[in-house]
Amino acid sequence: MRKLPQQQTFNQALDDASKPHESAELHVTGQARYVDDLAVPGDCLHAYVGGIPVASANIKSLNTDAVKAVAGVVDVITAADIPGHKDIGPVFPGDPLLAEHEINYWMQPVIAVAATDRDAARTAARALTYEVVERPAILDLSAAQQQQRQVRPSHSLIKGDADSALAQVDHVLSVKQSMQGQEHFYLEGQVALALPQEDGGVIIHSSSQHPSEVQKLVAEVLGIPMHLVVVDMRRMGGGFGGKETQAAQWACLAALLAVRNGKAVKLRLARSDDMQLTGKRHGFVNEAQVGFDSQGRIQAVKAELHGLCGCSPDLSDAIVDRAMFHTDNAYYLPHARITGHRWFQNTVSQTAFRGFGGPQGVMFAEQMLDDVARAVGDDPLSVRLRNLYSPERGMTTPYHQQVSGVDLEGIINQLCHSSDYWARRQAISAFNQSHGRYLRGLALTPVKFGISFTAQFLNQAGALVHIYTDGSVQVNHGGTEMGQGLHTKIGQIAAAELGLSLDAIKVTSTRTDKVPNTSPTAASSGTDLNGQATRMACVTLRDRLAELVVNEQACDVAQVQFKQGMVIWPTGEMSFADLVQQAYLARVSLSATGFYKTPKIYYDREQAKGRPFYYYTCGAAVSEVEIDRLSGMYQVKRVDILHDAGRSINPAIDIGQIEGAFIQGMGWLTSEELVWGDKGQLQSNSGATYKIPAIGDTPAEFNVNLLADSENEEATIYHSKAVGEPPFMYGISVWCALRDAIYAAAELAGSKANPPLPAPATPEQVLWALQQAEEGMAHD
Amino acid sequence: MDILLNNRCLQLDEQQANMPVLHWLRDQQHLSATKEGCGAGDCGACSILVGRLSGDNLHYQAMNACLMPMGSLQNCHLLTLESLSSGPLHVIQQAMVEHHASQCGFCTPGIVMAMLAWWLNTPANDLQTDAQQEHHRHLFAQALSGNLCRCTGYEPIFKAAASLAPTTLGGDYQSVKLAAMDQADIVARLQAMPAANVNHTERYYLPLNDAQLALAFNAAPEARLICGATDVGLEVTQQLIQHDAYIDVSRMQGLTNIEEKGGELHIGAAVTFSQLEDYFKGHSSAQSQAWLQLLELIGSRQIRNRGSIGGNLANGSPIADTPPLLLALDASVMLQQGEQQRSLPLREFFIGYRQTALREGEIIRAVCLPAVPEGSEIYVSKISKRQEDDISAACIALYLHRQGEQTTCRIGLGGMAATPVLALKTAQLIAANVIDKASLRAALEDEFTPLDDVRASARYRLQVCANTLAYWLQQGGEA
Repeated sequence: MRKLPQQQTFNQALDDASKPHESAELHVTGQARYVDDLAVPGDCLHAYVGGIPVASANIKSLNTDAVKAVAGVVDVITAADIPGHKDIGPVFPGDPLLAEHEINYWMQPVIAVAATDRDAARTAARALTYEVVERPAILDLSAAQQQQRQVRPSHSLIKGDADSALAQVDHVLSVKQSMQGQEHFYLEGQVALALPQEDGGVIIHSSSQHPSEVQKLVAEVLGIPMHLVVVDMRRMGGGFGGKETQAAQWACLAALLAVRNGKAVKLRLARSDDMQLTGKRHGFVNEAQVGFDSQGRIQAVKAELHGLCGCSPDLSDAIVDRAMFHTDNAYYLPHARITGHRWFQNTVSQTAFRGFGGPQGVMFAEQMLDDVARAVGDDPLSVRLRNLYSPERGMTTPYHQQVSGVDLEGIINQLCHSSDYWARRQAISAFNQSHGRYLRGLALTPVKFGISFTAQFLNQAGALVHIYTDGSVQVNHGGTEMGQGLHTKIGQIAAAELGLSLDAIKVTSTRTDKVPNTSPTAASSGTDLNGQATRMACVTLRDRLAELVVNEQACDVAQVQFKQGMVIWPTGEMSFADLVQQAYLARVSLSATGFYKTPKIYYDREQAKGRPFYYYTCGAAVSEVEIDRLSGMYQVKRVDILHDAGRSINPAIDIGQIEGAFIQGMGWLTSEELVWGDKGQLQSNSGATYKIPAIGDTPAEFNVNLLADSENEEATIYHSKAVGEPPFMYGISVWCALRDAIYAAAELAGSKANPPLPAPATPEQVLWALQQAEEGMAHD
Repeated sequence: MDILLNNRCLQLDEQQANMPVLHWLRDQQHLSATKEGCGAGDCGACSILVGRLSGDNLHYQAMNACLMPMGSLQNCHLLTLESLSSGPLHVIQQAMVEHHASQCGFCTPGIVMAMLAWWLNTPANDLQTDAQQEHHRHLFAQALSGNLCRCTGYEPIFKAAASLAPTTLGGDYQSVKLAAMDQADIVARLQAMPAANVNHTERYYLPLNDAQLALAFNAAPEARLICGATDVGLEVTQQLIQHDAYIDVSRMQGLTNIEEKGGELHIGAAVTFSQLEDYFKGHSSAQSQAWLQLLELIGSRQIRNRGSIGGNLANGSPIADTPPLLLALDASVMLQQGEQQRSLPLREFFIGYRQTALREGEIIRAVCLPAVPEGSEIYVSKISKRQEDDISAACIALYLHRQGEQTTCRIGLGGMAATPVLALKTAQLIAANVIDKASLRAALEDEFTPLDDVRASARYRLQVCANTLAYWLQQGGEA
């Protein structure tokens, strides 16, 4: 077997790697504290924001008299009251903290109110009066296209010559797809608590995936140096990308009001406002010309991806890029021209959400494969297998990175076997032949997902590890805990490196005064980056301690072992705690930082060439659905997933990520429908109108497995692979299975129709597609 | 007014009585285990248990703390997760930890509480066969239908529940300590509390009989009438409306029970959906089957534990869940104003969008269902984006009785007009034996102009109603 580039100390610990979440007992006893649970000073104020119910307008005047008149109101601010920067755009400007001259989305905050209680602040914020001049709002793609309004310029990936290839191939198909965005619906809504300090600074508890950015933006808004701002983040009640940039506004407003009033200020959005006022996953409309041979082997793709970005750039440049990077998904495209557009809309600015554009690219790839399979009259799985990246077919992506370290065919074959795909394919066919009330469908879809931030500089992380004189260890790192189990894995890494049990390690809240200048916990990178940084810090400390042993005992550093709370050398041993005591007395530093930056990655965006991804994570899913032909309502009956997590640091946590991501991905494509009104208001702005999967939507049979004996060929932490985002895209297998059932309806009706199925495939959309299939309407 | 909070007896003042339970717990008691996820009864993060005394028997149910006013808990045991937060983990908590069933943990307190209600109320089952296990899983999913989790995908929660079955399942509280108290102790403490008294309040009236209701109406004619408050609670948390006073009829004598009278069924207006479920589970008639099918899809377990059949009607919503079936069954409502009572066919009760025939000071006393003749067919179907805890895009109920040439047909519809309605013209067509899909769709379109809204388009509503009716008429209930 191939020699690995790194020798690991972790193997011993892997036996019982499936440690429970570090906060599991706190969760189940209700003792885990979230920002809204923290005790506040008795005179804490509560803040809220007020906006104007219009999607696009110039502001003529704001009148806050009625707001101030509400009992309990202490302070009301507008943009004019911001001492420092008024724009909190994370990469590019465009996101005013409070809108000053123009409104760009429905209820965009223009004032912030502080009051003695939250209801008073909420009530007061609704009392705003104003004068505005409404402008025509851009609410759909065609309006944006007509006016050529993009938040960022278009960009293309080019490989080979798609135009010439399309002119020469046997078959060319037009494929079009539209999909909506997705509300994060983290169970804990946006919240921040700001505590003013004696020196003009502020400490902020923010439910944020990116404390360093909150720190920077608060400092800029207040016009003070960053060293006066501390952001503390113990845990989020869910993030999913929705607290990467979207947490900053509330933290900045709370901080500003806190410093102005010299009192603690808490700002927590009510669910309907959270849904109305924070960015979501981007909706996309994708179009392509696909050229292929009679076996369905794709020769060329010319694709246009239209990302619906909302009213500002936010992270849309990188998100549409990632959609483009994943338009190949698992399939080799000999010739490709993939162009991504970033369209303006008068809606809240759309933002990061698990997968970060990747799912919208993969969705398109999977529809292309399905449509090609229907066109050549073959089973979609057979056609998928023919198109996979392989040494024979090709390994170069449209952005000229070589695919490596993924065995897509092996995974699919293994999953096919374990899920009994071909036998079930026959059984489903027979079932559908009975022409009953219900129709079944089956689909297998793979995922290949690139791991690394595509902005190279973000691929860095820091950690700070302290050993105290009793031998207990405190670990701090730049990553944030949002439920994904990052702190658990980090604790396991520190324990493994120092040869200690997990309870000797305490991973503390993420604080900008402990590890500075951190990257967001995003892009599935939390463990990859922070785990390595933590490991580096632990190795430094271990070496210092080992050196002490070497100096006292006649032995080699390599002979000193740290395991099970002991330090062992050829002629003796002592407890870790005793050695730490000796080190302290010998004046050895027991605190160390660790720093890590991902190697090998580079990308020239001008040329659209390079290696944006350190490695790929992959896997596949099979879903079976049953549709009620009367209503289009359906059930997911069985799901099988095989996922490559490399050498998993914590299999239980990884499986939990896969199960949860699958259901979330399924929700995106099935029941979660964002309904925007004709004035640009979000009509599905509550749990009553926006339906994330409930417990009954869990497939009756749900088999999730990690690929056995796998390890990352790259020198990632213990050769594991990232797991946060890739499984989200397994939900696409449900959408494809619905299309499979709809296609079966067409065949039963003697037609070759392959109607589009807009996402989310609500029962209504399914019913219309069924009708089109049965009536034999042609695709598109 | 008195309540037992975990293991502490407390007295509430007037202002507290009017406050949502969640607000009171978090802001006044500083008990933060109960979370606010949505403030609208949709997510279950605020699930609590409410223990109520019926004679010497205690019964615990999960409810949404965000929607309930504190006053509704008078003489009740309010159990929060804090009651399980010290000492060794409860078996439910242990199972949740062992099965990695929490990730971000924010929904977890509500899930543990919903599981506790399930665990307390589910009798020990024999889980030998696949069918038994499937049924068990179904009951558990029902118990957690009002608890959203965005992280786990629910699978580990199912596994945690499966690990608890069957030996640890309760149903008999005698052996179970709650908040470190024996049942006898809890019962004694609740029984020692003075009964609610309408004379001693100005903001939360909890009349127990007609005379007290009259006093309450007299004292506070402007008070908001509530029963389960599952909808009125939304006015408070979403529209920020502050009601100065409530009159809560949920415990009125004569409103809380179900009576059979010569084949007729009299359902007290304050009977909850959960109570109805329990009642119909004991019967196997066509009517019971239809009711059970519908009831399982009304709100969540937490909502069904609060929401009442009277409230469902008084609310006057065009998408209320029970009216289509009630209309198809030719139900009537018994209304009461002071000592006056009148009976009104339900079809005459809904007079406009969120408008009913209720007069000022009048309440719904009961819903009356006539006897169902032998051989009747009853069908019901609720159409929504999500099966559990969703509001219907359309709800369709069909009553059919064929006797020789004579066909009696009633179609109750929700979501098709400004009120729940009977499709009279379409029913005539069916009585004349026109049952093809196209004709039914044309008839419905002729009769109704449904809305395009956030839940569905008008065209979808019409099509689904036609498809479903045609199927029932042609195939019967068989799949």
